[in-house]
Amino acid sequence: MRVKFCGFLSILTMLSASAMAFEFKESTPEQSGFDGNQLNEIKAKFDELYLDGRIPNYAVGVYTPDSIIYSAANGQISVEGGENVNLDTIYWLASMTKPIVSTAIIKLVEEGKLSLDDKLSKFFPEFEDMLVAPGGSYDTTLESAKTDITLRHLISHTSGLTYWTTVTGVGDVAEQYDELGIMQCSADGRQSLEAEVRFLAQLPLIAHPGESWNYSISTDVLGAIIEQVTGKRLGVYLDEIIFQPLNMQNTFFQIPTDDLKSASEIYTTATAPQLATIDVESDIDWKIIRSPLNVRRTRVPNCDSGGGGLFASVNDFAKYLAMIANGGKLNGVRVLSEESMQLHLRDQTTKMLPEAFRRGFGDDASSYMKFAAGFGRKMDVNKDTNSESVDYFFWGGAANTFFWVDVDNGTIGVFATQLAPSLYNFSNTIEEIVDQAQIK
Amino acid sequence: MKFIHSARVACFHLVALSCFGWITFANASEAETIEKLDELVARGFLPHYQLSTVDSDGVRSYRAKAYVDGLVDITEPQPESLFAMLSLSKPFTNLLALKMVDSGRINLDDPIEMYLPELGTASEPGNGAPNSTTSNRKIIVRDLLLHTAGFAQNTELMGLGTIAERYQKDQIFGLHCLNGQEQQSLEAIISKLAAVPLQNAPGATFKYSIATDVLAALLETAAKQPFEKLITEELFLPIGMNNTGFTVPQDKHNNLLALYQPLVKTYPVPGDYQRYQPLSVFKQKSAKVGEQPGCISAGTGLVSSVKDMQIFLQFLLNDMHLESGQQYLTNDLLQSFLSHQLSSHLGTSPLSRSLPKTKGDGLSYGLAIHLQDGGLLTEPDTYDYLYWSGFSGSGFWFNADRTMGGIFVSQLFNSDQFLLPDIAENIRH
Repeated sequence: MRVKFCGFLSILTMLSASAMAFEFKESTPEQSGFDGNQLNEIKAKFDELYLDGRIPNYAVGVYTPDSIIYSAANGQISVEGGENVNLDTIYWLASMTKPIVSTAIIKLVEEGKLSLDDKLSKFFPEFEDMLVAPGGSYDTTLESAKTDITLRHLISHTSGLTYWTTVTGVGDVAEQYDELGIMQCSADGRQSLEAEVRFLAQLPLIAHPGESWNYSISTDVLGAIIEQVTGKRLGVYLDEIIFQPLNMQNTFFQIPTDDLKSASEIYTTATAPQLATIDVESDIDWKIIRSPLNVRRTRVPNCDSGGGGLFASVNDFAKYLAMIANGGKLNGVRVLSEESMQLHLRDQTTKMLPEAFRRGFGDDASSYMKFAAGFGRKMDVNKDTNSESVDYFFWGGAANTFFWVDVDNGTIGVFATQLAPSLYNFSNTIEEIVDQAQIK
Repeated sequence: MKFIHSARVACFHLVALSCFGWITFANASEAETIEKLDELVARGFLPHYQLSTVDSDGVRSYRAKAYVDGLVDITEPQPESLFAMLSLSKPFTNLLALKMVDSGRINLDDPIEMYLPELGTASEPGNGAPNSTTSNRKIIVRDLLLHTAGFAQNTELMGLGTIAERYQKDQIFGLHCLNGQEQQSLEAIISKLAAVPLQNAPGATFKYSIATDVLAALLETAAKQPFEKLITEELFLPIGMNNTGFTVPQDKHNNLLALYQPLVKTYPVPGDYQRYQPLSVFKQKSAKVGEQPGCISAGTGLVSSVKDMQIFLQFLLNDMHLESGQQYLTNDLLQSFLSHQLSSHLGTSPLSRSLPKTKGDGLSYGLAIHLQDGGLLTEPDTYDYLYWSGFSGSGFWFNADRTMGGIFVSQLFNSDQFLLPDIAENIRH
């Protein structure tokens, strides 16, 4: 186990937990009640993508809250070679950072330090009296926001904030996010989360708070609130309340230099002429090239992005999900109370029509999706009773990582490769395979 | 609750393992290929497609499919719909050049400076510019047909490198030719090109490039006629391709299909969605290729219809016999359009450094040549099929024995899907 400096308090936490530092038990699928042959379908499917040169490598694990029941991996951290990838390989989580930061917010709510009904302007007064450019368009008249942005809006992506155009940003406002490098913490005078958030208040919202669902940089704003309330840098706080208690030793906003050899490089799908520039001796016909996003692997971030800054291994992220699947605690360590867990996983988009998700994520998503505090909710519709229930909670990241967690039967799946933008999010298919493999 | 509102979403809700991941076309039958193309459309990878096969007697099949009920409206194409050919333009310009060779107006070994004197210096060694190159010989007409002149491709049309960037900066061919407010004559563009060094020495390598655009300027000078008029009168009208050209008349603008580009966004959720958007590079967002060409780009600017392409394929399958019974090209030149012409010193995989998907394919004076297993570029008996494809995913092909041919049209610009080789491979009858 690698130990890194993380402050006196967390060392204490770690010492108290280290006697029984959590690791998943190794289990055969059959011991856990699954048909191993059916689960092997998962490896076959991802091997197909890997051997066709469409992803640089992959690691996937299927878990219950205490055991790993299936895993598969293929490839090295670089198409040019290096360590073989496995469940401990470090991957850029990107948007899979969001659920973790949302958990930290819920923790602060539990401790009475925050309320989801708190206004954002309580922490950053610049957000009083926001303007709205409906649909993100500057061709329309700006309106005064009907209500204030609350933490509930931020945690459920209903704040009216948007994203860069490269994610799901909408309209002229999103283009302005791109041009101004919003939330990159790199512009002069904006090299901290706090400065970025204060600056953001100058730009109009694209919708009135609470009225529509817009995937956004809201989670970065939540990170700034956490820093203000705790007086700690976001990474330090997450380390104390989540990473150390859950024995997530490979999760951080900056990859330690010694760990770079175990961290996958980031790739992007090549266009035809770019393919001509690939010069790698390999049996695989690569359809990808190295992404400019690789700078993330080695740079020292000016701020910790709550919306997309974390790196972690598949095993580490599964530990976090095991805590979620287990009602807020893992291996005797409680992160959230049961009541807080209910708040965490409750639908925060009850008023939203499918159309809200269709605009951002397409037709399929609109047919199944709702949103809790930091997690997508995959809904099952019972046609007979015309009712719906949660199938599982899920999310994914820009470099093609994804997960699901089924809090009813306790199954967890985490997949990672490093292809940005993400093209192969198959949490639905993998979850179905695991579901079908369960010996009834 | 009306959540599952169409068959399209079934992929997500049923355990359909075929829905997993990429749709691969290798070794599929014709029926399976069509099924997979339909799936690409239904799952939001392709806005629409048209597929038609012909033999020497006529049209054998036609199929069109468009994405319905999406956020971006997609018009279902018709055989008469006008589509942007992009690189499919190139073989036509080359064919016209061969016709002019046939009629003695140009010679394949003529240095291009005979017609375009400004480009005489392009091949001169040591001009001091970045990436300048030295050469022992001048660029000849043949180099323009074979992309061995040493020119690069504009970055807007997927060129890479400093020369490509310079073309883009100086507006030396590229997307503004397809639609632009400002008009540029071929003469003016050639003047700008003369100031840019070559990427490679003439004859040194195959480099997919603006050579075809330069060829048009040369033919225009040689024939003393505007290129657009020249190719219409001497190629399209004789063949019967009455709806092919650079400028689409106002009354046919409604027939024009839109071009799309991939939607590169980050989706943290599973499921399918429209992965394309209207092509945004044109200044007027609704603009379509052919409405208002900014210049004549013979390598990328033509607009045609599947109907016209069916006529063209039949013309090829019938050894270029026109309705009058006359042969369009004399036999030697006809054969040069159908057989490998690159010098053997460029190796057995001469196109692949510039066009990696072509692997061991060869190049005639207008078409790529795919070999049978174990075939040789030097032995036309071992050719499997000939083809050409464009940046929008469109392409055509025909069997080397001329038993059948086909045309596939999509309008997704700069896609990472390279469908044509698989389609050509799978649909052979």
